[in-house]
Amino acid sequence: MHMYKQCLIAAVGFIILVSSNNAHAIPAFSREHNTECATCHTIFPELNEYGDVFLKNGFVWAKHKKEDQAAKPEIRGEGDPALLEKLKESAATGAAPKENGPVMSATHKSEPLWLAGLPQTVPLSISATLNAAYNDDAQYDNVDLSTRALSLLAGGVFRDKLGFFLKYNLYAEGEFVPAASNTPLNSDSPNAKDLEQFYLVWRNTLGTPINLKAGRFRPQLSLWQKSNKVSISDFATTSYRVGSSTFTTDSTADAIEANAVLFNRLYLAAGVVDRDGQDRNEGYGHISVKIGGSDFHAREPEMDLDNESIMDYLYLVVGGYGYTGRNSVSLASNERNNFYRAGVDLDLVVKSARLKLAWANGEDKNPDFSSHVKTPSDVFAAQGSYMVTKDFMALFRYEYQDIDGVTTERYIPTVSFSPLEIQNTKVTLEYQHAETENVTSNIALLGIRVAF
Amino acid sequence: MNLIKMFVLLILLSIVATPVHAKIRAVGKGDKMNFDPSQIPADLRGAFEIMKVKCVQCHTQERTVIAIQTGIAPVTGQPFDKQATKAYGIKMLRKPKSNMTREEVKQVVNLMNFLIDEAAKP
Repeated sequence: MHMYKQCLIAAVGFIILVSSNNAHAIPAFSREHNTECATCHTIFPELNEYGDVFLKNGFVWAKHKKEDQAAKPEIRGEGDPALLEKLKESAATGAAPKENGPVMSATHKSEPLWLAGLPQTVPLSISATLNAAYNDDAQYDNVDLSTRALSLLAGGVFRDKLGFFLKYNLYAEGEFVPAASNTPLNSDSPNAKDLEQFYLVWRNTLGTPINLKAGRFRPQLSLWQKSNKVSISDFATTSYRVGSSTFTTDSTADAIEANAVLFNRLYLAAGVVDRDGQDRNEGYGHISVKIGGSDFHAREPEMDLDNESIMDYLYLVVGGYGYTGRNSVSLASNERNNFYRAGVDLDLVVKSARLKLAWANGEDKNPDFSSHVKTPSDVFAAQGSYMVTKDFMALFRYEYQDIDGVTTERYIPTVSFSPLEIQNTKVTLEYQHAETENVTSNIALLGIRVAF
Repeated sequence: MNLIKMFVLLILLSIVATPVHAKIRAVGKGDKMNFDPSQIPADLRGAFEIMKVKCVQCHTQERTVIAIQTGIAPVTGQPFDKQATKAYGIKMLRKPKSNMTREEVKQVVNLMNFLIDEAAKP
């Protein structure tokens, strides 16, 4: 019984901890490019294929240069005179006699700002999450309602050359301990993880297709990072932990990464992670291929508009990754845990339906930092989702986790609604049924998130 | 004295000058902006009706008007030419819940190509 309660508490804590994370969906991009959230997201922060391209391209819309002529906007027509005047002004700075001139993405581009390399708008956003959890088996309190996260986000690009992204957690809920408090205090670092991400991307380094990324970020491993999801909880394949090790494939880390799109449909990334307190760096690599749909430069596929084919509405992304590293409990400790992770992901989209498959495999050689007992891990997740309407998605996820012979299965139905009229607001209802050995737990979560 | 003459001349010129009207006209402002229906030929009226109903499900007509008038897609900054109209048509056809059929996309692409041609006329 004691173990049963511990499992429940741990499960709630885990869900709350992971649900406070978010990332790339930031209204600063909407403001800068004068476009709606749905341009890049299904239901935020899950990316659609164009949002994925925007991210891969260092926060710049992929440019499709015509070989025979440069884009020279010529203002024609009539309509709103004031608007046309602004367009002329915009075209004056966007007509690109200068290489890599500003993109005419809005009607208010300023030449001085462009010359200074500054974004056209202050690229700041706020993201806030409110969660309510109901746990019928909780020891002290069935209902938990509190603000879970408040984050400051910034992102953009300086003159199409240097992309940047920042996420600073103004408030992040710590580990949930019902015995202590229903609404725990804001945790200090490291749980608060104040500066969760800050990185720079040197786009097309020295004229090559390679983007160099440096700073604190999530290494490019799985396709299903926690910043790319609709549900409240994360995929087990990216969030599971082994023993006392805090490593997950979704952990942020101080790292340098090189990534590139090759042959339009192949994406490669490789990087090194510098972990505090050790002189040996960790390494990782990622490869993914896209079949069908638009390519990684957002070019649409050729399509015969006279003949119907289901293949026109289908695309498939297959990705693989590997990570090798080691960690310890403290800088002073000599006990190291050498570990690796490897995984394969699949993303299949057919019209409004989407299937995500993920498999992760790993081994930790000393995950409790004392006994040096090898601990293998195998985790599988499958999620099907369907866009019922443009602003309503239903999804179901199944997860199977085996860590050193201890298996856990999770069944997670979820619905999420982000009204078209206010795309910066999202309501998500998620239910989790988990079975670990002979212990089951049932938790319902309601999450409300706003970003502005 | 010369300065005064020039000033008067400029004022007179500004009074008698008329704005240049290109082929593409828009009516309304902001999210109410649309192409002037009177410039749409009869055989493209059906496509115009489709455009008015289907395209505005996700974005305003202002975005399309700007793209046609400037030759630049407002969000991406990419050239908006006949090659682009087909690509956008395909994109909208593939977009989940766009509720557009191939036939509708073909008609709207044809209409946008017509508007691009008209806008190109001096």
